[in-house]
Order: sequence, then structure tokens, then C-alpha cells
Amino acid sequence: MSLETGNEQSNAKIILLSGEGIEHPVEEELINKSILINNLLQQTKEAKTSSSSTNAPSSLIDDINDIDDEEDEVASNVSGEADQENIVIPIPNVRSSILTKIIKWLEHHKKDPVISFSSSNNTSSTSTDDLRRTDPLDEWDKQFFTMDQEMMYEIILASNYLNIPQLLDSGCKMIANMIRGKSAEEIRQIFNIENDFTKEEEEAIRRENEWAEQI
Amino acid sequence: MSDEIQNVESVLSADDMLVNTWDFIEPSIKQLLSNVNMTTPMSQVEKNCNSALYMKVYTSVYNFCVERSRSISNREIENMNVLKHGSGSQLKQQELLSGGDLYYRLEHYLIEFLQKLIPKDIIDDSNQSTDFLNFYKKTFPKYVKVISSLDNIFDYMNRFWIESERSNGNNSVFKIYQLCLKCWRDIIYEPNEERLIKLTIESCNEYRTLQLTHVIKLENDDEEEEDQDVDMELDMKAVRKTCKDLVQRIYWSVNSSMMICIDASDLKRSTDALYNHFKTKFEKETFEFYQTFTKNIIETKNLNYYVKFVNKIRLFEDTNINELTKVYNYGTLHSILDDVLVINNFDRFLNTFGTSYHKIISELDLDQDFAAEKYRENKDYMLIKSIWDSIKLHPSLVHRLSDFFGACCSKFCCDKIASNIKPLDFQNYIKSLLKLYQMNMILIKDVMGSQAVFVKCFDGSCKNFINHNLFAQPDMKEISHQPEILAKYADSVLKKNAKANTQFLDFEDEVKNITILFQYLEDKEIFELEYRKLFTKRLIHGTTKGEKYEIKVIASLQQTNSLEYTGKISKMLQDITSSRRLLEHGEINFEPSVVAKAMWPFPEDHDAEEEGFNGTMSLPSEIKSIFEQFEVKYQEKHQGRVLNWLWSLSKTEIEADIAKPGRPKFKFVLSIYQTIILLSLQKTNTIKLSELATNFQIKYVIAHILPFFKKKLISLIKDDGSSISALSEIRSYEKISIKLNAPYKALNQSINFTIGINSNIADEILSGEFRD
Repeated sequence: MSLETGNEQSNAKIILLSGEGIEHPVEEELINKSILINNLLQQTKEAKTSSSSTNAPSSLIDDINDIDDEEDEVASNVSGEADQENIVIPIPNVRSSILTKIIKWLEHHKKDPVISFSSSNNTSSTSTDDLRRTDPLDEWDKQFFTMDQEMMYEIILASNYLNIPQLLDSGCKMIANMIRGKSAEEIRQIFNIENDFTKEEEEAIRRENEWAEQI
Repeated sequence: MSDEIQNVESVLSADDMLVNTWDFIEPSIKQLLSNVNMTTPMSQVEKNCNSALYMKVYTSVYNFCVERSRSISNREIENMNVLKHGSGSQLKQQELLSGGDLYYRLEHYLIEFLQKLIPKDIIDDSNQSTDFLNFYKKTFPKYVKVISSLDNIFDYMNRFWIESERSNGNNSVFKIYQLCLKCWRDIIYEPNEERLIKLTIESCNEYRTLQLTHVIKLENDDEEEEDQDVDMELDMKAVRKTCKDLVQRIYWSVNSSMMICIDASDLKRSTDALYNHFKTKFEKETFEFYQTFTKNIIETKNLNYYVKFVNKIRLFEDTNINELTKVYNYGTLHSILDDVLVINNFDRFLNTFGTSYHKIISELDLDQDFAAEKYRENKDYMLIKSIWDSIKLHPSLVHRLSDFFGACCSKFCCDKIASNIKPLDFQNYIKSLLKLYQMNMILIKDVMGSQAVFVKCFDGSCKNFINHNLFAQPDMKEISHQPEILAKYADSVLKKNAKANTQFLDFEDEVKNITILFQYLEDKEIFELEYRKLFTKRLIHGTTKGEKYEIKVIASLQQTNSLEYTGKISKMLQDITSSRRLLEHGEINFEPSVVAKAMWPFPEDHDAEEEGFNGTMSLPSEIKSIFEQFEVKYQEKHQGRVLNWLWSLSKTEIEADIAKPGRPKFKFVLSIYQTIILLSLQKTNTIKLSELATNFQIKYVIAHILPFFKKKLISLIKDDGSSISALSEIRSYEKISIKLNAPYKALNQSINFTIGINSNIADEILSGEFRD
């Protein structure tokens, strides 16, 4: 886990394009919480920096990376000129209203420390996971998720799609809170689930899980 | 029956979905991969993945995975309804998250793509070898760029399906980035591995040759002929370009072989195997390359040039080659370079080291002040430094060099002293030792960085040349006189000196010098004894420069050796200080020094003191009372202590009114014996020698009248009335009387008669051996 303060200055405007094609301008610093978008931006940035340093490589490392033949470089310089446009990122799977909500959430969590969830080869990942699991849902997020289930569900899906771990966590905690301490019938009511078990099946499942109730 | 049909249906629809999805994303993937070729510029590859394409494919993969999971979980619920127990677990859990078929589709596509990637002429014509690396270095970096984009685009699959497969132990599934590398490995790298390694090493050697002959050699050869600059510059441009190309060939092939070692446990060939394969070959080739390369230099150039060149090679290898190949040889190439560049030629290194060192020592001017700055600029000093630089990281060579240095140091320093120091000039000798020490010390400190082995060898050599040189030990069968010489030197430093002595440096420096030489003394016991003897003289005769100076030297000796070592010396100083305290209560003209017998070495008169006069010598009445008074006083203070008077060390000052009337009185400094003799003459003017001999031995009578006789204070008269002119005549002392020459004439008003007291001459006179 690494904590960083997002002090990076960036003037590039980022425009998220919702499923319906509506533009949502957003600061890079905000949207970086989405690992998906962050990766994408990182990639375009790399391209910019490395293309600007093609002339006169002096050190060995420059030599190593400058694999183009000289004739090619001229061509690349020409194509590398017009690059001042805004970055438009289509988000086809997310509706505009959901995107607005998510941006609102991002605005509020702007100052949060960045927690890097590197899923692989991270020795301390368990403690990070524990922290994510046990951290109580903050009040603002509780308020934020006070909405109809359909929308909440869509936000959770979108946060998974855009890979925004903190938002996904909050959403799942919200759902968990809704289920906690409720009976099966109550849960069915809350989530509008049709009971498709027969009486016998229900009884069988209950017997199977009897042990759990005694805990 | 019914659910079988259902399953078939869902599989079919899944296939449809796969086909649809793949068809949708395939053009994008194709577009990305199309950049992996020999001509597309890198900058374009980097720009190729725009956000629209990125999001399009990501979304498509996402939808595919989500859809598939949904349909599978639906299917599972249906199955549960029918099959009840057990069947739920038959459905593998991993299928809950899906994406597998898309994954395999991608892998398949990559393999096909890579198979077509290698140009035909390279595959067919294995002789056109270098082109393969050119192909390799132009495609691999682009491939890496593209697949890192692919990895991001397939991130959803990475996060869920692949993650879950792998955590369930399916190690044949990789993250997309690694999958792509694995495909590269299977299709491009492994079938060509041998050729790749061979070519890489060849390129490496080619790069070395170019750099060493054109870039590095230039700096060294500027003393020799300077080629036409214009031609050279043109040439350099081409060299520069070729080098750049070679650097890329080396770097990318080496690095790719590291990158494709995705995860050792998953792969048929572990990282270690790849590593060793390359490393062994590379080390062998490196060795052979330098063996051939340096052969010519070793044969045609002097070692000075060679050593400098070796250091350049090292620097070049450390920076350039190591940077390019470090994944495989990190640090290990050092020992290969040591072997081929240094160890193989180490005898020559030693020889040159010896010659240069010998030159430094023989050029050292012992009469001049040592000029450290000039010394450091000396050509031979520099050569030694570069020899050292080229071996310093190699412990066994450092060891050998230090042993060699030790032997050289002992020998050359001894030779230097033998050929430069005149006998008896002990001060100059000591100064020379110090100069040699100082010179070597600078070498050891500044060049060898005071490395422990070197310091140890140097200490050994110092012991050798300081104790066993021709000056200190003219006869090698006898023991070294170094302890005496050093004690004498210390004495000369600590003695009150009438002449303002410019020869001596700052006193602190002298103490340091004495300490340096002292620590290398082999026989410190002899030194201690000698030191005490001379110290005694300084204390008794009051010739010491001062108590604080004595204390400084003693403290420094104590620090270098031990408290016990300087115990006696310190006690001696204490005796004198406490005697001073006694003086305050005594008579003004009486300065007793009460000293502890065990601490003070009085070798000369030891026997005489024992049997001769203790108590038996009768003092003249004029001074007798003073001694008696002191004895009583002392015994009151320190009961039970035995006081023995060391008459031979005493001194008296008297005023003698024997000048011509009207002239001022003389001031004589006398021994106690001389005092007794003069006091006896006060009454009678003439006295027989035999009469004096009743009080103390005739030997001492004679010894102590010698200065009187020389300075004509007395005449010696035979019984027949004739005067004695030759000292040898004193042998028949029974017939000789002393006569005081009064009134006495002398140039000086104060005369020290203790100078010239000589009991050896007295002995010789008595035995008849003395010749005038």
C-alpha cells in the first residue's frame, strides 16, 4: 500500500462521454481514482514525453530507446505536432445520470489519500483488504447512496467497470448494511426477489444450514 | 433431457457471443499489432492506442465477461434446481467468472501474428546473421509497447477471470501482458535462442572493439601521432552510428530474454537455466575477446600504458557493457576481467610496481625537506596508483601485492640508509628514517586507502628497516643498536641546549617522531634502560629542557606502550620533584636529590659505591654538618629508609679566593671529591697523594685531579722537588704531592672542573697502560 498526495499539475481537460453521448468534463486529478482511466491517461502521457525527446540522444539509455532510423524520425515529428486537443474518453456502458453521480462522489473524495490496490505480488495486500473490509461506511457515502435501488445497482456496476475500488467498496458495504440482520423474507422484499423455492426445498436448505444459526 | 438441450443451447449462444465479440475487437487488435514491424517509427506506436479504441475494446471485453458470468450463474441455479446435492460443486467454480474462450482466442491470434512476423529471408538464410538482431531490436520494443496497451485494454479479464484461474492453481493462464511475452518466447525467442545469444555476444565484441579502438584509445594516444582531424571526425560519426545500432542490438535481445522469464515456477525452463546459458557463454567469449585484444598491447606497449588502458576497459565495461547486459552478468564479469586483464599478467604488474617503487625511494632526497605535493605528482607514484586501482578490488591480488610491497619496502629502505648515511650522524639517521616512513605512509594512505593488509605489511617492513639497517646494526650477528640510538635521539631532543637549535623542529613534532620510531622498536626493554640512563644524567646534572617536556615524552611512550613500561621513568621524575620539596626545609645552599635505588640506573660507579666509601669517607668539617643535619631530618620523616650517598653524582659550587689580590673571586663547579681535595689544600697548600688516598681510593683521587692539573690549578711535585709534566708519571703516586697554584690565573672567572673527570684514564695510569 502506498499513500500519495495527488499534487500533479495538469492542464489537460478530460471529457467523459456517457453512453448517450453527453459530455462530462472532469479534472484529471479526480478521474484518476478510476484505475481504468488512469492507465489510459498514463499511456497517452508516456507517448508524449518520449516523442518530445527524440533529438540528440547523448546517454546510453537514450541510444537504447531510440530505435528508429533517422528517416523515420522526420515523419514522426510531423505527425506529433497537433496534440493540444482535449482528451475525450467514451464510457459507453454508463448512463449520463450515473456518470454525474459518480463525478459527484469523486469530487467529495478528492482529498482522500490514494490507496493503491495492486492485486498481484503485494505482500501487504491482506492488511489493505482488511482495512477495506472493516472500515465503516462514512456518513457522506451513506447519504450518497440514499437513492433507488436501480440507480445504486447501476453505480456499483459502473464502479466495477471503471475500476474505482473505493466506490465499489462503499456500494457493496451499503448493500451489506441493507441485508445485515434481516430475515430471508425481508431480504426478498427489499430486493424484490421472487421466492421460487417449494416448501420442501426451503425446509431442506434450512436443515442443511441449521448449524450456522446456532453460532 | 430437457437441461441437456438447454446446456447445448447456452453453449451455442456463448459461441455466438464469442464470435461476435471477437469479430468486434479483432480489427482493433490487428490495428495495434500492425505497428509491430521493422519500419513503423516508435513515436507512432506510442500514439496508436487512442482513448476511443481503448474504451471500445475494454467495454467489449467487459460486456463479454459479464454476460458470460451472468449466463453461467443462471445456468447453475437451474442445475441446482434439478440436480440438488453435489452437482453444484461439479460445476467448476472458475466458470462463474468467464472469459476463457476469449483468452484462448487472443493467444491463438498472437501466435499466428508472430509466426508471420519474422521476414522470410531471415528464416531461410541463416548466414545473413546480423539481420536477425536488426529485426529483433526493431520489433521487440514495439511489441512490448503494444502489449502493455493490450494488457490495459484486457484489464477486466486480468482482474477477474485470469486472477481467479491463477488463484485456483491454473498456472497455464497468465495476465495478458505475460501471455503476450510468452507467445513471443515460444514463437520468436526460443526457436532462435542459440543464434540470438551468439549474435548478441558478437555484437557485444564488435561494440567493444569499436569503442576501445576509436573512442577510448583516442584519449590515451594523444602523445603519439595525431591523425588528420577531419578524417577522424567523419570516421567518428560513422562509429557513433554503428555503436548506437550495436547498443540496441545487445540491449533488446538481452532484455527480452529477461522479460520473457515470466515466472520461474510456471515455465519449462527456469530463469536460472536461461541465465546460466547466456552467462556461461558470455563470460567465455568475454575472456577470449580480451585475451586477444590485450595481447598486442601487452607486447608492444609499456605497462604504464597498459595499466591505464585496463582501467579504461574496466570503466567501459562497468558502465556500458554492464548497463546493457546487467540482467545476466551483474557483477560477475568483474572476475572474468580480473582474470584476463590482470591476473594473467600479474607478474608484470609486480615487476613494474617494484621498479617504480624503487625509483621513488632512490629519488628521495634525504637531505631535503620532504615535499609531499611534488611527490604525489611523481610519474612513478602515479603509476603505482594506477596499478593499485586496477587490482584493488581483488582481495587475493591485493594480498600478493602487499606481500611484495612489504619485501620491497624493507629492502629498498635498508639499501637507502646503507648508501646514504654517514656513520655516527645519528640525528641525520633518525631524520632519514622518519622521511622514509613518511613517504611510505603517504603512499599507503593516499593510494592504498590504508587497506588493512597493506598497513600490516608496512608495519612489518618498518620493523625491519628501522631495526635492521646497516647504521643500527653494522654487524648482523650482533643485536641492533636502534634502541640506544633512539634513546640518544630522545635525549638530544630533551636536553637543554646552549645553542639555539634550529635543527630541531617543533617539539610536538619531535615527540610524534620519537613515538613513531618507538612503536617499531623490537627491543623496547633496552630502550627503556638506555632512556633511564640518559634521563638520570639529565635530571642529576640538571640538563633537561624542562619537566613539562619530559612529561610529554613519557606520556606519549606510555600511550604507545603501557603504564608499567614507563613506571620506573615516571618514578624517577617523581623522586626529583619530591626532593625539591625537601629542599624547602633544608639549607639554602644544599640541593639533595633523594631517589629510589631500584628505579635509577647508576651503572658506572656501582661497585665503588657498594664497597668503597659508604660511611667510610670522611667529609671535611665544613660540609659534614650539612649532610648530618639532612640525614637526621630525613629519617624523622621517613623512618627505616636507608640513605646512600651517591658521591660520584654530587656537585659542589664554591667560591675560591685564590686570585691575585684585588681580583674577583673564582667560582668553581666541583665534584665532592674535588671539593674534599681543595678543602684539604686550603690549610696546607701541599698534600701528598697517598694521604688523600686514605680517605678514598687513589683511582678516584687521580681521576678527579686530572681537570685541576690540566687547568693548572695545581702542580704535581715529586718528592725530589721536580714537577711532573707527563700524566703517566703519576703511576708512582706515593712519591707525589699536590701543590695549589695560588694565586691562580685563568681566563674565565667561573670554571667547571667536573668536565674532564675520567676514571678510565686513572685506571690506565695506575696500570701503566697510559701513554701521553
